[in-house]
Amino acid sequence: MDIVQLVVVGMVLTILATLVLATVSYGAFKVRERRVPGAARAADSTPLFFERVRFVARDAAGK
Amino acid sequence: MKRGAYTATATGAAIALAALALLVLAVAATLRLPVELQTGLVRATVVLFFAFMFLLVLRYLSLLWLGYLHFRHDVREADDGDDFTPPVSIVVPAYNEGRIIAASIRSLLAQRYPRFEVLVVDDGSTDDTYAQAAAFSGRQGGVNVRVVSKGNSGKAGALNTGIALSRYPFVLCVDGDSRLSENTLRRMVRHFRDPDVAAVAGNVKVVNRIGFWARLQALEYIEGHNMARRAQGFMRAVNIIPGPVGMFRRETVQRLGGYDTDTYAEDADLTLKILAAGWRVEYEASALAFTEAPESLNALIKQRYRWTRGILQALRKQRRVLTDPQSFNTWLSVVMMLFEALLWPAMNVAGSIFFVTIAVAFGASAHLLAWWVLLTLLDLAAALYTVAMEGEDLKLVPLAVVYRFVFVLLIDVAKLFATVEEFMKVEMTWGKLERLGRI
Repeated sequence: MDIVQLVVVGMVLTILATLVLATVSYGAFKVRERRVPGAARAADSTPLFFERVRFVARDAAGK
Repeated sequence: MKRGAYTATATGAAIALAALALLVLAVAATLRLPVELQTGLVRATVVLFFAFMFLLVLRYLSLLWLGYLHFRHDVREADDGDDFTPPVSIVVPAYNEGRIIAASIRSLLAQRYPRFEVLVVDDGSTDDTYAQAAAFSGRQGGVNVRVVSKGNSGKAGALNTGIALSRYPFVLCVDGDSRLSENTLRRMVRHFRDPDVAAVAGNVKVVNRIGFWARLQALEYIEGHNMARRAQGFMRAVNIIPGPVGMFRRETVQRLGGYDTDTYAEDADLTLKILAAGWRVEYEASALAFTEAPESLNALIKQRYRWTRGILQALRKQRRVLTDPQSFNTWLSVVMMLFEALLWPAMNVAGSIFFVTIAVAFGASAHLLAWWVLLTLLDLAAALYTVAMEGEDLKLVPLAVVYRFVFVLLIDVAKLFATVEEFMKVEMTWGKLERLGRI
């Protein structure tokens, strides 16, 4: 096996391992996200007091 | 080696590497496919990918050249604006930042600037963030520090509260974990002499260069984010004011309605709103903000997932900028955002899978080698050039060899998943990163 083939084999393995790692990591992230308790999810996504401080009407937004 | 000679040597080496990359592209264009693969579809696919690689080479060289022009422009104007020092409010939104908020406030108080205030907005933290911040409340060496606490409403809500309570005409928004260089305020505020400038983006750097992933992110921030922002700055097409350091004309932000809470990338969203309204956004490379990067792969994926979905949400909201832009630069900034968020990740993943497939199944390994060598040479050239330009750690450069085919590929896969979920409108949460107290 010459040096070019060795490099190519290394690249193929690296790319495949990275693709698998990325997919597995993403799957793990989604699983962990689903395990977040309901209360914590609510606190993370639902504002308690207000969503936004409104300054002025949007019509006046331009320069 | 002196800084000037070091920069010149690195620039020369980067140009040589880029020239070598062009040579590889030329050689790769002459490669013949195995007989079994000489079908119209495969040929068309190979031509498509090589055309994309040609565009990529052009993009790299353009970014490096425009970045260099921005750098030269910066050098010429290094001392400009010293007499322009309007008062500035620094707004710090903080949610469960108890481990680092004190260090963050200390770095803000160390700003060399005549008149500014620090306003910490505790966004309903469940830890001791408020108590830690409240210890600084009052006058601190001539700087007024205020700490307010409110119910949790997310980062955008906390920033809006801070902006509403700020007293001065310019507002610097930072993250709870941002540590600034001492001249950040002075370097950023000078851009507001131009009445058309509504915001200035700073230069974000990774502070915790510990471990494989964090070091790769340190390189990514220099080679990817900041080089692109330099080029955008020169083209007057900056498309994201980063959360860790962004300064705004307060009146403009207020007239635009502040930060919206309906995206997960409030910084990109506000930037697009500012551009859509016809204002300009500048980039200041010497305004440094050091921030914690995720050290684990899980935290990194979580962060990039949120960024991607947030940017797509912001793009969807402000899509009229594409069809009815205020200027060519505004249109260009949105096109670049689309390219980075959608097109390039898809092409990178598809190209890697395609070239691996034809190499493994049909022995067309030369095409895969050409793909890898070309991209690696470009990354090495860009890393060397940008690290030298920013006076950064040269030890980051060798990481460019694995940058594209490990780090970027991994991030691009996560971006693709996030894109699919965004189009399918899958429910998501903020997913705050756990601070490690490295600042």
